[in-house]
Amino acid sequence: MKNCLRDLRKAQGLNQADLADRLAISRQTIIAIEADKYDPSLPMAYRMAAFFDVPVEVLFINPWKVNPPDRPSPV
Amino acid sequence: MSHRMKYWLFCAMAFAAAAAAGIVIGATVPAAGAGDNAALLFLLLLGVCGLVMAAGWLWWKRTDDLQQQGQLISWYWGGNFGALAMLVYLAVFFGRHSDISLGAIYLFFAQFVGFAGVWLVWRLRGRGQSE
Repeated sequence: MKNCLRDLRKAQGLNQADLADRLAISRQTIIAIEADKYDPSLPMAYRMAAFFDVPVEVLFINPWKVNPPDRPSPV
Repeated sequence: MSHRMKYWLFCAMAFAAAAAAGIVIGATVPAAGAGDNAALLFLLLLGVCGLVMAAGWLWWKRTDDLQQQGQLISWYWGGNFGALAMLVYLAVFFGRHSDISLGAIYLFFAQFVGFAGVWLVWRLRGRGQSE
């Protein structure tokens, strides 16, 4: 699932290891999510969104919602 | 202490518990045949196994979604295929009714019983109200 985790993380000046430690998850998970290779569980997604103080749908782009053309179409 | 440090600490504790259990089993179980009070020893060693699982649980609680998924997929597909391959190897090279093949079959059955028990608990805990 497309997401802007990398942008939000960099905006806070954190590296992947720092963010992983702050969220009490593995660095491998941060890397996989940023590479769009893993979709986190809903609780983890909410935990991440709460950390960055943004709605979940800002962090993870909902491909099933009607979106502007630059957003991905439903899979 | 960072999350990463805690994770590796509990991982090491789980391995240490498994190694300690191996030493206890090695020290208490005879090399061949059943010893005196085998039933009591079996119960005591089941308790030791419980402690190993508890140590593993402490580590498991510190794993995240991705790590758990990696463990579950690897144990299910890799573990089962490895066990099946060994079962076939033992049956082919030592005979279906050899002691070693029968031991492996018992282990496989025990694994299935453990799987069925945990699956049942998982299924019941995941139940909701149907409408």
